[in-house]
Amino acid sequence: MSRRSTDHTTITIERHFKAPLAKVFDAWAMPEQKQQWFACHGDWKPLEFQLDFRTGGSESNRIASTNGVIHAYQARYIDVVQNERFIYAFDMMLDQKRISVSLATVSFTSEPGGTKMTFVEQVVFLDGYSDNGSRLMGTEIGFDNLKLYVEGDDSRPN
Amino acid sequence: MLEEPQALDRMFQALSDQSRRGMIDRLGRGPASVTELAQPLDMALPTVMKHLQVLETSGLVLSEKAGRVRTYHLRKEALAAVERWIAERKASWNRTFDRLDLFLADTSTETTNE
Repeated sequence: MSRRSTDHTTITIERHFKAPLAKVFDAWAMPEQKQQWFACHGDWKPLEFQLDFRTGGSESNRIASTNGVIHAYQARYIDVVQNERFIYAFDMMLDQKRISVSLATVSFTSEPGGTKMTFVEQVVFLDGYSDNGSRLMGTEIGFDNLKLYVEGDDSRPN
Repeated sequence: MLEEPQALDRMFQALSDQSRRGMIDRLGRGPASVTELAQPLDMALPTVMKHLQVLETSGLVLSEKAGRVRTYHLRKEALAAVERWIAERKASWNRTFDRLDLFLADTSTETTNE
């Protein structure tokens, strides 16, 4: 059943981190750092992660969920201003099905005690955003993942 | 039925306006009359009613008239279809950023001052 549709929306998320701006920026920019929080999904099987963080650079992340669905993310960095902001375009695929195409802008501001990060994703959801079965984009699994992450390290202060 | 592409298009269109999203927010806290909905907005009553009409056509809200007062309320099951995608994507990013937060907290213990 092929039903074509494009639905647009903008998602804005503001987060505050208790870390200096340069450090937060580096967590996005350095492949070995970004891999640890972006590409890591508990018992999901990482297949590929690559990041070339610079204007014109690309990024890809492929991961197999526990039910065997391959989640593929492919990005291109369009504008990178060190320690200020970056803009990148990306798409997401579940197996062979492209479910969304996005333009994301991430900007950073220093604030007392840390860094404010503003993430804005302009997203096009494609063709009904995939069927019910594979649309489980790790919503439940993600929570387990976070719980494991938190509980897995007793030394963490919180 | 609610997931027909045209129905979703109308919902997205209805949600594309800031004052209409404000009305949805307000109705999320319970039914309200036109006057109540217009109160926080710097907007003439006919304009408010036009926005409400768009929301009602999209299927996101319903209205009932009792005497002279028309009361609007959210159709939660309609919102579910369109909001699910957005909520899911948003939740997914927030979980990712939770991991970033933990990652930053973890690595900050390696440095002497934070």
